[in-house]
Amino acid sequence: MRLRSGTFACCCVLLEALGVALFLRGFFPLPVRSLPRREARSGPPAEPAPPGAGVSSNWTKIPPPLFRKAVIVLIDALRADFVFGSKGKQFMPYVTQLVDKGTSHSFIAEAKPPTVTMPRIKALMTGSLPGFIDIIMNLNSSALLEDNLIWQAKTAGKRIIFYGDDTWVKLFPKYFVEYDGTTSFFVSDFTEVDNNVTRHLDTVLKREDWDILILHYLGLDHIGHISGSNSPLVGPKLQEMDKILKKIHLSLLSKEGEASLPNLLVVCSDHGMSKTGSHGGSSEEEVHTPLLFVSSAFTKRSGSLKQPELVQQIDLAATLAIGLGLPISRNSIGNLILPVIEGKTMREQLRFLHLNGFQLIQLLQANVPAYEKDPGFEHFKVAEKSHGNWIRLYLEENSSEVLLNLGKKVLKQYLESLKILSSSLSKQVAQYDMYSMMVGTTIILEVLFLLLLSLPKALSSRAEFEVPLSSPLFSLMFYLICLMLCAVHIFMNNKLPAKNSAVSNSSWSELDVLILAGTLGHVLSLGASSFIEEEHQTWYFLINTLCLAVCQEICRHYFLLKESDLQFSTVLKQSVENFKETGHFKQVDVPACDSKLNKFATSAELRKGSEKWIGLASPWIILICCRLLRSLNQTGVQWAHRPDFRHWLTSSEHKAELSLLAAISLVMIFILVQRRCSLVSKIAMALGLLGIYSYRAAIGNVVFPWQQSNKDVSKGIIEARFVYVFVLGIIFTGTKDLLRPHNLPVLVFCLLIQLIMTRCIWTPLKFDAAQITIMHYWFGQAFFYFQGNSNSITTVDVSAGFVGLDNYVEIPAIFLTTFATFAGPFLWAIHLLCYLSSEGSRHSAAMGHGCFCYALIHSIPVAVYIILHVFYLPSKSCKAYA
Amino acid sequence: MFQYYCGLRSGVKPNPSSKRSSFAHKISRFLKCCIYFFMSCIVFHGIIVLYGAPLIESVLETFLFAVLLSTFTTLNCLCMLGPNIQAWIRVFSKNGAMSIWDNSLQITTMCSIVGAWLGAFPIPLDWDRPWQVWPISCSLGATFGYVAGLIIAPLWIYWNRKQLTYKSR
Repeated sequence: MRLRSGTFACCCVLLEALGVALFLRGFFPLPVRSLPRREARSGPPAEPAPPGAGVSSNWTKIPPPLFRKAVIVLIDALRADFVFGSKGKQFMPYVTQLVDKGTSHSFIAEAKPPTVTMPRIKALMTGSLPGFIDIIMNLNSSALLEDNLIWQAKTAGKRIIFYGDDTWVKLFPKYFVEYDGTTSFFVSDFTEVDNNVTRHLDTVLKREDWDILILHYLGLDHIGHISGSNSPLVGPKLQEMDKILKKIHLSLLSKEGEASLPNLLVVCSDHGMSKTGSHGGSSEEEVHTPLLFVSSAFTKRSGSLKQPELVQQIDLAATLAIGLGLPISRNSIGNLILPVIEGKTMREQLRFLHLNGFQLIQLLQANVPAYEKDPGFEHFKVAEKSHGNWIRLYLEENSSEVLLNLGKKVLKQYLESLKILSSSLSKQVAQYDMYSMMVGTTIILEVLFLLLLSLPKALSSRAEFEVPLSSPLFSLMFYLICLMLCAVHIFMNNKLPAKNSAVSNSSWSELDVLILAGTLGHVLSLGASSFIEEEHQTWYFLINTLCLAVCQEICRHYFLLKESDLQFSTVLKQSVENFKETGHFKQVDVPACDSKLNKFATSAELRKGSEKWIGLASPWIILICCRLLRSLNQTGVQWAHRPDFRHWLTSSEHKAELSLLAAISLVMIFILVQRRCSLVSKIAMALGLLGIYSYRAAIGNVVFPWQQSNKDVSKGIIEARFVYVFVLGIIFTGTKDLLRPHNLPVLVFCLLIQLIMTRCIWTPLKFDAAQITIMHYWFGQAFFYFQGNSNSITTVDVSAGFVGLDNYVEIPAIFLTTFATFAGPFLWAIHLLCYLSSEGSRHSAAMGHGCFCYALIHSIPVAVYIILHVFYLPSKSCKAYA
Repeated sequence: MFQYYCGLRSGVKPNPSSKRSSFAHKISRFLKCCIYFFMSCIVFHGIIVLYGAPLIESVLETFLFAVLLSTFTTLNCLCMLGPNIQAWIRVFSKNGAMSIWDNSLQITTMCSIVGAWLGAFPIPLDWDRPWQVWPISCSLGATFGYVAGLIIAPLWIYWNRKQLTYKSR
């Protein structure tokens, strides 16, 4: 079977996609789950029966609650040192006093990455660890179907009131008897968001008709996103929170009667805040959050606190469940926080620990086939046995001294077994499916080898293959062998013709060396994690070097051309002389001819001169464009906090500048694109561009000059749809609508560079298709980072998925988000396609070469990346190659 | 180092073309050299900024790095070729070297530039070493590259001496 190299590359890419999919399937395991909730549940375990007949325990029900009412105050992005550090002492005096001298227990709760609000709320309420797959699944916050604390409380007849972030309302619909959700859509607002929560507080605290009150304050998170963790706005916000906590605590205290149970106040946070004020990663500032239990049931602290103890964030679910007398949710892998129940009798404490352990054992049984061999299981059995012994002694009423000591021993055993159990369960989350990973890797490697081996043939002038595919392809094993054989076959076939055809006419130019070295260097740099985090630096560096190399090439081209021109003109003159000599006899009008020739030569020289200067200047223009774009968006990890133009533009004072910039960019785009369009599409595009501007104005990002007070911040749905109608045919405009207004210049520069490259560099210098493809790929990668993306998933601009949609619709949202994220590489790939097809008349095989190179150059990093992952499994940044 | 080179330059420069060795001519050539040197510093500075060096922050360091680079490259050319742009273009175009001096000039210049280029690679790594701060690693790279060029050039000339003699004929 004969295959064009383009078709061949397509097949390879498809095969490779299959491999990547298999690999990802193995790399993102499903989270630990027990049986579905609605199934018949075995009742709560009884206290272990004491060995020996006669005496028996009568505690078979769920223990009664420890607290009457609970108030959970969740302050978004409250970092541990905002409460326990110097900032806490300065701005939160009441809380500091509670921590130091009050009846409280304080901890540092460690959140597991990804430190994003929704997975964290889930973790707090279910006690389970959401896997990485949950981020992808949960852009859409649908109702939480897992067993969770709120559900348990609701079925137990507790009345729950919620005020705050509407993520909760989406996660737990119909669970709250009263709620008021605030949206976190407008990040620039950090007072109204909190006032909307606080305004209900006075009435609610007076009422008696609730059992659990949950408050979620978003203001601090918004401040962090806008101006970082060292912002002067943080202090007043902390003071405000301190006042609110004081109010809640005092009112709870005043309501406590002598007879009733005490109340509980929990202060916690979903995640911390990095120095720049963002979150999502796994640095210590983002992971450490405060956790404060305040209740009159606790003993008063005497001395001031040293370092608070470190617990897991997921421990809160189990602790609250015990505290409120609820069953622990089934998927929880948290441990009971012991100090909270310290005031109880030894028998109760042991009972609570046993409940927790029993729940963990059940979860272990559901997930691990060989659960009996787990060390945690063995420990737990031992502890259970000694617990039974202790109960017998207790019922026989031995002396209290002996009982206490024995009880402490059992307690220690229980704690240890719980720790082992939850660590082995959380390891389950991080287990990879090695088999599918290996298969995926094998397929990708084979494709890579195939591509590499067929390289000389594919780049030959015919760009065709002889692929033996006619043989039967029934089993996978046979097919794989066939692939290998085919590669070998092509390789062997190629060895002979490659020698005599002598593809390269001379030694390699500097540009070839650079392209090869750059590709290899980039691949090698994927070995270091900081190079992956800062991959944009690699690309910027490479395209700068590429531009300089191109500049040198151009210099050489024009200067060498000049020399050959001189030779040419001397030849011309000689021929003219000859002609004159011969013409002398033939009596032709020689001077006229001569002057005509001269005129022609000078005009050509003039044109050539201007072309030369434009050609010489073009790499420098491109370099300057790149430098400007680079300072537009700081990305990566190490230098992400540096101030850049984006912050300057998006801050509310510079709205006028941003509007001006957006308008100028749109006009520029129109000018740059309009030359290749027909009249109808021109009009459509102009209207589309206008629509983009009015969309942004409707959303409130930019302002119309004539519209001074735009109070009605609509969602701009009509405008966006208006744009969509106009852009169906024109792919460029669709992108522009999705990009944030400060990223519009990126697009302008992209088009400008493409124009310059085509006009001044590629066409006159006659690069071959492979070189052009690789350059396109490099620029595409660089523009991916110029947009402000990085290899961390937190920089994906999810809001692009909601442009022009009323509410979340899955497929368009995913499509729009992907398109907005990969707009840069996508545009360059399209340009490559256009360019190559327009050049197609010159080289018939150019298209095939281009496709082939693109496939090859994409598959190399993918393969290397996957191999690296096989070797260094724990990776933090999740990367998606298109 | 800079002063040393200044001294060297004033000593070496009149040698290549000493047809008209009038004093005024010497002075004008010297001034021209100075201007060229300064211009090359500025051009290097521009290129470094285009490569992503901070524009305002640590200008002085960046400029000193540019001066160092032009000391390794432009100054040598000025010493060997004088302020003669045509000769420079000839030497740095392909197959343009006419003597072993031109070859060694090519090699040292390329080596110091490549060294500076390679010196930028450790900057994004998160080792937190003092020499990873902005111009230091690049300056070290340029210096090592220049030294390597000084070592490589004689060896290369020695290995290729037959072809060279053939070419110069």
